[in-house]
Amino acid sequence: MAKKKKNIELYAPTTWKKAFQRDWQLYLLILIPLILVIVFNYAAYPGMRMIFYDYKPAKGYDGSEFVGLETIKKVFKDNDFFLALKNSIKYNLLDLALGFPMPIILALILNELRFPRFKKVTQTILYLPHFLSWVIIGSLAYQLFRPSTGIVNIVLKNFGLIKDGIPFLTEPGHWMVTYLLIAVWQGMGWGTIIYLAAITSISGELYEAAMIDGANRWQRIWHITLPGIKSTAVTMLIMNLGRIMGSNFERLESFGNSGVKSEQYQLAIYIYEKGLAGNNFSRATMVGVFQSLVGLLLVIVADKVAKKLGEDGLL
Amino acid sequence: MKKRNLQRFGATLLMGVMALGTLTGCGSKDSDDAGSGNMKNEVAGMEGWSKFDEQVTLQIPVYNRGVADLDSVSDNGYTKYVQENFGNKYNIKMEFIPITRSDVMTDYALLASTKNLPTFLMEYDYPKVTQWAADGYLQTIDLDVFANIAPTYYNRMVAQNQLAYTKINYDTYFVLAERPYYDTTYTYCTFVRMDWLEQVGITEVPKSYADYCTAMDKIIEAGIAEHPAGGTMVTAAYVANFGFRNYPVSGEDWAMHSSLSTPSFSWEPTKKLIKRANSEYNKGYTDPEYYITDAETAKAKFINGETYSYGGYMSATVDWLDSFYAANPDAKLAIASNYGGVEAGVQEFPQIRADNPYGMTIGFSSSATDDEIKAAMMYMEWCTQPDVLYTLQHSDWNNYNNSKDFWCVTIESVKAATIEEAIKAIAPQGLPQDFAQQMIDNYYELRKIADAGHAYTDPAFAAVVNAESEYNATLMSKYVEYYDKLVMCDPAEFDKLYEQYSKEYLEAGYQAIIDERLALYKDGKSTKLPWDK
Repeated sequence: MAKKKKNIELYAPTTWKKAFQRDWQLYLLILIPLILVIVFNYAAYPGMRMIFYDYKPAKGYDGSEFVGLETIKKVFKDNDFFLALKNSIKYNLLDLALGFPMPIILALILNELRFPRFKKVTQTILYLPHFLSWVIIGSLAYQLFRPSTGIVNIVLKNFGLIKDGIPFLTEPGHWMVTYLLIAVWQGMGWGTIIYLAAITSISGELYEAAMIDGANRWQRIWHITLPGIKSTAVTMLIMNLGRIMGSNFERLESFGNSGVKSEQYQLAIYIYEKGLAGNNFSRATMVGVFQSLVGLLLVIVADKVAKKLGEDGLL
Repeated sequence: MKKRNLQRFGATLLMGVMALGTLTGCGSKDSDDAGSGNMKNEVAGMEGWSKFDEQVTLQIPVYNRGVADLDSVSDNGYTKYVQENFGNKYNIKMEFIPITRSDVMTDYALLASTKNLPTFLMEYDYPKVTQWAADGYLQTIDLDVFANIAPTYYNRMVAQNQLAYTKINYDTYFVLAERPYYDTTYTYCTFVRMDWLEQVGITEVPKSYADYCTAMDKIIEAGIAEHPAGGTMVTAAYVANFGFRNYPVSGEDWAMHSSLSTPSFSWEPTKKLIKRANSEYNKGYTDPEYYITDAETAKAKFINGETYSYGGYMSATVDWLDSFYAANPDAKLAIASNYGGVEAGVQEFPQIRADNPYGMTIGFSSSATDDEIKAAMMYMEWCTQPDVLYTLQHSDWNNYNNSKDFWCVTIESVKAATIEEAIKAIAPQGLPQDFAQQMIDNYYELRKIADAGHAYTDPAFAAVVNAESEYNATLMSKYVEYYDKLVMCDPAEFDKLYEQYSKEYLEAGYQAIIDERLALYKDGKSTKLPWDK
């Protein structure tokens, strides 16, 4: 009887007061990230009204001229904005197409490695590029891929494989491939962490049963490992779709040169050139908000689609 | 129980401190009390100054050039000297605010947005300071008050005809520092490989473009360097097309195109300049990878003995010359002639861009109090006193020797009794070759060009050119793209491409800029050319 009563108490609906009295230390702990998010994310939201002003920092909102929808109209009439938008979407989709499956494939390969020390060393080597800044990667890439004096072209020429240097970073078509593949190289190792974690949560008994049933290694990957990490992959995909409108200024600037302007001109460059460099903070804010809103919309749509397909989704 | 209570108290305290720390980071500087009303003293000049009753904080911007091995911009020998000898005497707390040299506008914008602008703002480029005036960064100045507090500084401005630059739309916003010998650019020298020239049988530096091309051809032919002219990517809006301009250039063309802030693409002299660059590229003088070569790489190429020439501002210590001689101990350098670009029908005689007839343009922050502004004016006057200026310019303080960033508030370079003495003070020391005499000869060559009226500067507008802030960054980016395409194109296609790109450039905003500049020029809101006055 006493045991039954205790169970009832354990699952009885609680009140805020009771919950706080019991776990106040935990609530205090969560207060820190909560305050940080409120201060650094939500507290900045009133700044979005900058879009409707010709905002001058020294004059503040009171002294700056209210221009209504003028900034929005200017941006949507600007051909350069649409070029930047087109390039951003194109490159983010390509980044997604190349960059999204790579960590999964790599995680599957790493998972199959049986010699622990080799596996750990390999993992560490694969993670390292993630910690290099784009400025360093860009600089290294130019040293390697310059048309005449880059090490790669010199080696290829010395082996008689090419006559003229390949313009890896100075001609739009070649630049696109090099730019995308370097991003895959930089991010794939780091991306495996979450999938390797998901793989470890798959029960070992499933693999044992499959082995007893005669499943080979490929069949075990296909029928156990992949379905086991599917929900993680869907979550990651939804999160990546939210970044379709994103744009990394550091990466673009590090790989930029006058020969590839037509491809390099993406939203981050647009925001810098037409916003920040000209002290036009209203325009920079407007494009930033546009990116965020479209990103949010894509996440919501992707989440709904995922749920309709029977997945857990993100929201 | 006691232990648990102590733990709870500790946790609560920690949370509280962290939360408070987060929130206090969002605070802004309290503004000082209102000013002291009438700023004029009964006695003009330093004799009339007295100690402030309450301590005044004077914030001074100093360029941070990102040079390694220097003490902090805000705490070094200079700052200590100024605090001890000026600040303490007048109850002024001196604070030196670092400003990133390569990103001045962004730094000031960030300071403005947090209401933390230094007491005064200063910059070399006139369009930037006019922009600050228009955007509310600055307050107007009563020049009578300035003359009362800083008479030495003010009288110098009058003597050097600088008052025309103090106004924007009839309001006074600026005071201006001195720039000695501004029309000769003698502090910048281009060095060439004299040993290479001698190796190919040439005994003096080229004094015409034909001589220059002969030298390049011979150097390539002798296998000394593959692409001796080298080259770097375009990073500045300034187009060095003075030599390619008609003389005398028309006032309207000059007002529309002569600018440090927007590349003058679509203008005929710029076309001539790029056409020459195209010719040099196609003849192999220029490095085919010049457009992905930054300034540091170009410097390294000269040091490594891959290129014929390199230039820079002179001082007692020039790091790249030190490195050059360390790598090439037997090399011989010479200063290039200013006549090296002269070519019949293209560049009849050298013309150079004179500097502005003033150094720093200085305005006072719109959020500064009267006391702070008074302290700033006192500081400017104090720095102008010969004994103080001598100490500032000649003391060896913690690697900041001769750092003009601390005394540019009054003057731009060391002034001496004679130009020979001034040059000797900035001639590089400790090298296998002594360049002082060549620098003096170079000065007199430049002097001759200036005296012939062939050195003039860009217009300064007494109003903001609004289209510049709207389009400048975009136009700069387009110019780099077009310049490189034109330099690397087939010479037969050059004229057609220049015409096509010019049209695109004008449509991208340049037409709006030149229209606005021309209107201001016609309205009398700009300086004039020497021959139009």
